[in-house]
Amino acid sequence: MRCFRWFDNPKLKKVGAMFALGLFVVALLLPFAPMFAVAEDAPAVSADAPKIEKAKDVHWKTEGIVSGPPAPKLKYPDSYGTYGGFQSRTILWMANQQHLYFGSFVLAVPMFVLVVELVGMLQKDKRMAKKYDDLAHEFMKISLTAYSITAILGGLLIFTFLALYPGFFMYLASIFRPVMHVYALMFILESGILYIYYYGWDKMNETPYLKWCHLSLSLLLNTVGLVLMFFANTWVAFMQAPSGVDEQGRFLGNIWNAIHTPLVLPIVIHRILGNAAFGGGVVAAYAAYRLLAAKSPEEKAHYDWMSYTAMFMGVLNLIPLPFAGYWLMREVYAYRQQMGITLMGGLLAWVFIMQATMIATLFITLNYYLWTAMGRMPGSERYTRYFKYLLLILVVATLTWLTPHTLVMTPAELKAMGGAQHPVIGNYGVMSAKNTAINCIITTTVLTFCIYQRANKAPTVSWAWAGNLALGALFIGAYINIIFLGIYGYYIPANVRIGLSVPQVCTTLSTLFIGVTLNTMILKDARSLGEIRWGQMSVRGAYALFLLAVAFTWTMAVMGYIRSSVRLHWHVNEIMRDASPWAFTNPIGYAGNINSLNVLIFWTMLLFVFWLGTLTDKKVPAKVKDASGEGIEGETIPVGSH
Amino acid sequence: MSQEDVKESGVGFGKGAIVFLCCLAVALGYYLMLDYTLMVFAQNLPFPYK
Repeated sequence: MRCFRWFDNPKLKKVGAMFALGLFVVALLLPFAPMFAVAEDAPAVSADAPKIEKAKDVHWKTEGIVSGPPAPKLKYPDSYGTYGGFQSRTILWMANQQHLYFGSFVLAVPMFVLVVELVGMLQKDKRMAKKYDDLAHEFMKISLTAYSITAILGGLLIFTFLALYPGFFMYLASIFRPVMHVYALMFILESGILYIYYYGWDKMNETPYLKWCHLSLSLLLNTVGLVLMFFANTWVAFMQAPSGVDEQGRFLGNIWNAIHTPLVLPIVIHRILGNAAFGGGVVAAYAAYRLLAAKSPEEKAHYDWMSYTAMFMGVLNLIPLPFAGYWLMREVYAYRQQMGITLMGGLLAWVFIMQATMIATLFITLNYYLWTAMGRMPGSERYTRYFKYLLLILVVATLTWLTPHTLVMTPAELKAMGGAQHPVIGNYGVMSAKNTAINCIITTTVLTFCIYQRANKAPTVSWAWAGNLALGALFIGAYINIIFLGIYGYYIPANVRIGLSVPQVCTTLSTLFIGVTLNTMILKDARSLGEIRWGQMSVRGAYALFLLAVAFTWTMAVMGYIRSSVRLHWHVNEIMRDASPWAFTNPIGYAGNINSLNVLIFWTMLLFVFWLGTLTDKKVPAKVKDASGEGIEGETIPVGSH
Repeated sequence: MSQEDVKESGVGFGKGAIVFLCCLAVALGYYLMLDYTLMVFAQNLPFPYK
């Protein structure tokens, strides 16, 4: 374009790129200005000023100056809005969930893009570098459409809050007012960076210097995205475990105390990992969709590779996710023991069984995908016969994990069984068994990955035989230790038993790090038994990726519902009561149906996004001229890719 | 997996079994040390419980 002609000058390009980067870094700090402005606006203490009232922080127990009104005592219907006979809570629930789905997706994808672009830049092989760069660009293309939908859904969510829960939203806004401004301004900043990052891709690909500037933009984009998510998380964390206010809910003037609530850190970490795993699953599903729809072998190969890469990055985040979940639960117990019991042993325990079922489904599907994907790797036949044993471990662990502690029974059944717990399977309903089960599932998944790593390779190092034996011993030893700790837990008091989860987790992590490192060392300079036949995976593998992505989506819905429901009849736990007629815990069937509806709506919208993605890179047949100037039939040129 | 590799490398089954048992002993020793360290030093909990 004419207006970008100055951009052709290499010196001006460098200056321009540095200027743009500097501008964005400064802009990154600008949104925080309102926070300082609020501090400066605070009235100076004078003799005429009304008496300053001090109160104690409800959680941190520090003294602060009362700077806000108490939490309002809401009344129905005055403080709430309704849309006819519809449950306001369900409407808000759905608006929230849809916004969260798309928000998670657009947060996760730039993280992958950053990694993939960097990997591409570090490649020595130019063909591979281009391949990774195109992949990163394609990831971003999907995210761009989803980004607009996220913004629309965010607006819808705000209006739903204002229309249906005005009293509660006003109170929340009165505390987080400075941060809410930051949130809105950060959103504008993110949009700016995103558009320059995406539309400047080809222009900034021209020199290594500009490419590094482009990567820096990606880093900025991710920083802004993470800050945005952090702020949104602080509000939900405040609702679940408030601080920065006194017992009446009066803000004590220190915004950091309201942000730094007791559960905010584990919630943020858990959500970052969850979003990344979910984002990987969704992009893998997109690639699987394109794989199934692809006509040419080249297209099939590309989307097969893309789906594997996305799935791999999602799984990297899925593996530590259960541990982050356990950390969150531990903090919940530390904050309010009763809240932990409501979650895991009381009212919501059955929802946790649903969640366990979904996570186990995720891991089994992931293993199934890898076993199927090995079908395109020559030499993998050597390992096929072992898959049934791995499946056996996964199934036994899954059944253990989803065994409930107590069953819903009639008095006659209760009498026949001799109590609320079954004499045999009741033993598998406790945490000792469940921790053991999930650690066995993850260890088995790591083992499948190790097999995948070596499927089409034959080790050439002289010590390979000893290395293989050591690898076998590492995994067998891990299973023995995990199961030993699980059984040992039945013989010791609960306060000691809870500590056993730490060595169990570290055993699994040791297997992951030592196992993968040892396997990589064994495979150094390994002889290839044949190239991976990308695009020749069974279609069942592609469908497994769909299942994986839908299972991610459903798990997110269930876990979000659990976290939100644990507040029971409180808008803000122990501070602000929910006075609406919907302040009760839903029956499990109703919650399941709404979650399923949310998943269905999300995937319908996402299929639309996928379809849009196919519109921009339709290939049109064209003749390519050979050296003699004659046209070659059957060749195609991509038009308008990206 | 391991038996085949042992055969391929020309190492006898007996030697392979001994090496495997040694590796298993090392692995179990490592895991036990991990259990003890993380229970006693990291969490101040008894291990083994008496």
